[in-house]
Amino acid sequence: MAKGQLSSMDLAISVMVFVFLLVSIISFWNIYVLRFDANLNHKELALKAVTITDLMVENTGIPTAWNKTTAQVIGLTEKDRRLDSNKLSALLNMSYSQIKGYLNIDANEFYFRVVDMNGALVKAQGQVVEIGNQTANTDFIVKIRRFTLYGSQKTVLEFLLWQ
Amino acid sequence: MITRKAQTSPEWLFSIGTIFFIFLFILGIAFEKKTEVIRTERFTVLRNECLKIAEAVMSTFLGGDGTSIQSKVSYNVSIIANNRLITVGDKDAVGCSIPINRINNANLTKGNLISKNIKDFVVVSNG
Repeated sequence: MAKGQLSSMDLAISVMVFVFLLVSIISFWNIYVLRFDANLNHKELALKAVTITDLMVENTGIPTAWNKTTAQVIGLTEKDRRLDSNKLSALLNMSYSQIKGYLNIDANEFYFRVVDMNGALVKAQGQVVEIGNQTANTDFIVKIRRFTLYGSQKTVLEFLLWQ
Repeated sequence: MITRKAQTSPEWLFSIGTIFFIFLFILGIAFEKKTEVIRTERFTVLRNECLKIAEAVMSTFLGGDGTSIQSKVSYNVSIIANNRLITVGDKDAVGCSIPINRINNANLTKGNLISKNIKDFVVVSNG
């Protein structure tokens, strides 16, 4: 009888340990899958942000003298990395959702600004170059900074993108 | 002796039964995880392929008139200009977006692709 009871107890303990290990492994697996997905999404978001800033600072836009009604592609330069005040002004005159539509980021939110080397916002035709709200309620955010010229001034174009 | 044997036998049956069910449970989980890994692997491969094409299209566009870029893809590709969307694969196709619509609609087969910038319009074709 004593031997039989001991055997049952051994089995019960070993089954408990085994189930605990199994549950731990499954939990770790699920955590790993979530991290993998997050990493994948973050990389895709970063790539999207880089592509958009590429378009902004390396392209003159289509048509070249675009405005908020004629724009097909939003490029902000008069030539490579030299920002055009007319285009910045045209961008500022667009609505937030209109810009999201042009950049094909309807599922995302963004914040855009151009600052000088001291961090002060620059102005285009009297308007401060800043669009959107910087206070994103997420850790899942990508910030891209691109060095540009605005007139004779060295500036930084900042673009934040999040889900 | 006879009493002891009779007492041990149900324990053995119970333990073998328990182990068998645990084994079945683990087998089920292993099978499910294997399917998940295969699906994720396929998704990752297709997504990378899609991002590679999107990158080639954007580089072609930003390169200006006359720019031409060749690339190679292992899956069929569709380009939907109005939605600014590229999809890769047939079953379980994976899509990725591009911020321009100045590109041709196309259904391309796997193999060599060539994207050309013709007056700020990107034309992608099998090359």
